[in-house]
Amino acid sequence: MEVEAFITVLLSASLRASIPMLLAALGEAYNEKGGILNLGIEGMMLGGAFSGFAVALITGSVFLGFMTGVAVGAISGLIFAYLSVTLKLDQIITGIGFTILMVGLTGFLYRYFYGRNFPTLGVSKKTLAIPFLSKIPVIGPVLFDQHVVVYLTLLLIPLLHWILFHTTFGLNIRAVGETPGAADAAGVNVAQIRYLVAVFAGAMAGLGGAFLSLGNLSLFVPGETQGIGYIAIAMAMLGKWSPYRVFIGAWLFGMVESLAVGLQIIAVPVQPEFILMLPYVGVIVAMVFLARNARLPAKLMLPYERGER
Amino acid sequence: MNEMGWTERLRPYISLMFAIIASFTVGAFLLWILGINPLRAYQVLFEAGLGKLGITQTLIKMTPLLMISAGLMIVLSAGIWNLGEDGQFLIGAILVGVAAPIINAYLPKIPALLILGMIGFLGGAAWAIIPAVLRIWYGLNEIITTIMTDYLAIYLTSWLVKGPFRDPSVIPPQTPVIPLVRRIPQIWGGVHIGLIIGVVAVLGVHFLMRNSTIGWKILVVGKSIKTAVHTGIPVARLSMMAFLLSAGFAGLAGANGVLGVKGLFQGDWNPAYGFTAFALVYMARFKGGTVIFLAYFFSFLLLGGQMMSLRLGTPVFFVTILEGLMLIFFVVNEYLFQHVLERRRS
Amino acid sequence: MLKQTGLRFSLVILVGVLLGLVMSLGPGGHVAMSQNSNTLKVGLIVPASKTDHGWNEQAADSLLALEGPLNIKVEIAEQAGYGDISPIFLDFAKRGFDLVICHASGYQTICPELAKQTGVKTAVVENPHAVAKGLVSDYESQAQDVAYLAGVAAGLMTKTNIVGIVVSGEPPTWNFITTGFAEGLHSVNPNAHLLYTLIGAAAYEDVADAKRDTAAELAAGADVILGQGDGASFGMMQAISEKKKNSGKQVWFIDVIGDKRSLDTEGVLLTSVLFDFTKVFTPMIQDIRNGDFGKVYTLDMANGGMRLLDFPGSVPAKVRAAVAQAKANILSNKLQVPAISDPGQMHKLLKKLFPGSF
Repeated sequence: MEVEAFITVLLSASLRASIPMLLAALGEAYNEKGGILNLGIEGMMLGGAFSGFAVALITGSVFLGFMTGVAVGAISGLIFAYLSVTLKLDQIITGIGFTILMVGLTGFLYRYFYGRNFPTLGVSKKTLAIPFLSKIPVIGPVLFDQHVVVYLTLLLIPLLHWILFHTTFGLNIRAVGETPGAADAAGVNVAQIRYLVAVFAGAMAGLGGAFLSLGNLSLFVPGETQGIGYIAIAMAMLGKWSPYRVFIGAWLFGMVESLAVGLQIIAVPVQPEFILMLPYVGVIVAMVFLARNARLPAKLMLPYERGER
Repeated sequence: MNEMGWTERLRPYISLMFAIIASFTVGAFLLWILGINPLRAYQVLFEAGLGKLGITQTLIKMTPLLMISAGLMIVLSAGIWNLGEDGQFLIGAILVGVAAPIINAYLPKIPALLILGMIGFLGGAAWAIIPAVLRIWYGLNEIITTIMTDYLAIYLTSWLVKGPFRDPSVIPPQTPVIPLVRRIPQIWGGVHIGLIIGVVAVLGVHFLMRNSTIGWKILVVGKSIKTAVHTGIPVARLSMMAFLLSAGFAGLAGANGVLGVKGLFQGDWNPAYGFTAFALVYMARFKGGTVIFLAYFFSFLLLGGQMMSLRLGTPVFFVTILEGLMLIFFVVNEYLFQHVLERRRS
Repeated sequence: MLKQTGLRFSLVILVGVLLGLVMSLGPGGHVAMSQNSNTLKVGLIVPASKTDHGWNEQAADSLLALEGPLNIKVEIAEQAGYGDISPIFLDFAKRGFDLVICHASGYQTICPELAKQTGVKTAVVENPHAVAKGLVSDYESQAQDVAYLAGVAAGLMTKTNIVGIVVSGEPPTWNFITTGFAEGLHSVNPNAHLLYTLIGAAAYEDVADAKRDTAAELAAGADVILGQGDGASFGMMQAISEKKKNSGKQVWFIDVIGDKRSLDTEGVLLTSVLFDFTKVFTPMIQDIRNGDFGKVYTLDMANGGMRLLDFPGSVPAKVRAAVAQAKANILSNKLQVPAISDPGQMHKLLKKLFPGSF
């Protein structure tokens, strides 16, 4: 066995596999900073994954598929914003309702249209190697021979960090999540900001889902996201809503998953089930050390009424 | 509940009816777009729940939902989001599955069933100890930890039922079959006493939350921890109790599944009642009677969905769509009501 | 409040019970038998999609193929899952079905119980203890023999001398296949390195992790992969197809229980272990007519119920010959392949056969 090649592939897979979760978690970080908790992320990812797949299959264009996935996610986010910001409905219930609905809808439509012949988008080279950089041992293939969306995500992280923590707009988002009354008094449009973050979170979840079905698998199956959306919410909280930390958390989760594969392949004498528990135990342990008494944004899950303090 | 206008009093029921009708309408529209005759589909859906077979099967299906809902009524009132029902269910179920043959060997039927029910309850509760402690004393978000413990429970039970808890005399991974005579006594056509326990649990919790000091204290904790602390309520102890009780009820539902329906624990079995129970408790606004009605209705739908798929080939996911729509329409309607009422008042 | 809630609940129950009585007393409850009295009505319950290119499809297609020849009327309940299937069974019973085939090892306890309760004949998978004269039959698949042949082919086709197994669960049928495969591999290539990966517990639909795990085995050097995944198999095949397309090197996929040739655009499908359930369903239905129901029916290589999917043309003649030789040895009882379904024993055997790998 070529150890270096093996480790390279595991690392590369860990990054690729963490992208859907990472995208959703980045969106959710903005969402939560702005005071919205969206348990519908899982459903929105499924919506993006299915719609992206269906459009790519019909039109033959993966690009259009990605656009559709993002659009479906953004529209879901918009509806979610309308329900939670304008109508001030309970976010947890609305989120769970969204997830149940999307699990049903995507599963139903998939079975109805494609459940008889399980179409795929065929086999294609999905990665784009960056000249020279991709030739560096280990790091090259891991970071510079990936799908375009992976590069895009990696570039987005510093940008999102900068916006959230170093611009007036980012300050407004944080203010809306912490002290919406003060923000309102200072002339910030609370509802507008919350709409923006909710739509953004939906779009990111949709993109994450579309990456799963288009960028990674070239196929869709019902329930394809397998709970990634919930883990994304965990990652956003674990990373304390900082895009850098969210990135590290998501990739670490992906690495622990890859480690679980690697340990099985080198045949460590442990029951596979216990190896497969590692990522989930990891999240809880990481929370104990990193998120102990983590202060949530003060107005998370609370609608804003004008006149409150 | 003092003086209330009749609109106010009927409000939850009208919301409920609206949610049901609206979701069925949207569902019909979806079927129609896809070229499936919605009337025919709904006819099959509703017929499935009629007749003796339909009713008994619905009552059997609703039993675990009732038990889990009873627990959710407590824990959600305390402002704690225990989303780990599915894992707690599995742990309760597998412990009952492995303990049943041993206990049945030493005890007569009724005491054995009582002890096994207790084992299920305690097993479910034990699985929630870590998330509960982490939430109450370390401030860790229980939404995340309980979802993680769900995954852990799936892996743990999967290993147990393939390994140490497996009945070696049969080929598939499962615990030993409990003989029919040692299962929960039946009342009518397969409906067993578990149903009564579920109904009593839901009604009991309903009255506990409204008419007892402890219920009142839990509600205060759920409303505002600050107030609770000021009033001298032992927040940590009550939260712990609410958390573990809800997990215990999920474990009891697991015991019900093993002792009343399946007669064993088997690999790959994960009915995942959690979200459905969650939806119905919320839509019932924590009212015992409505929880029972909705549990019946949701089970009726699940059964109808199975039959619809059998007769018309419509994917079983259709009922999941209805469920999600109902939840969303219900919250929307709550808003509409508030809005209309407020306008009328002013 | 007590009164109100109690009242409401009693009302619901009352209405339900009344409806129940009306329906059960009413004359319209039962469907009239319109078929020829000689036609047997057979219900099949499968846990997942009846077109899954796998376990469920092979049973559904086998049974449907017998509709004409055996004069039966078939109805399939798909997606029944692993929960409580009694409503489906009882519905078949209510509508006067003659036989209900419960096509999952997870149904092997509940179906005999329901058969006793309703008197409707049933067939279960892998549970010979449940067999009851005139009421319950059992059918089993002895997949280890054919899996052995697949192992022989894998052992001769590998260039890297590393062979992988990826599974999305460890149900009995797959464990038979895994052990048979390992024995076959060992017989022609004892120095091969064998990899084994479990995707997740009950991860039958987890395509994403299936793809990742398969890619990891390929990266570890495997060039022949035995994939047992149900829905997850699509992810395995995708990983192998991508590997071939991107590296230009031939890598092979051995599928189980199903024919995915229509999906194989890259030419990676070496073979598949096929189950022909007509070989058990036919005698089962004939025995109902002869009044001799209640037996164990076996699907194996000898009765043609089990076979390998034809190799693609690029497979050399000497590989075909070795496979044919092994087949002849098994059929003539010169060679006996152990049948192991217990996961613990299976892992022990893998370790014994390939001590360098585990």
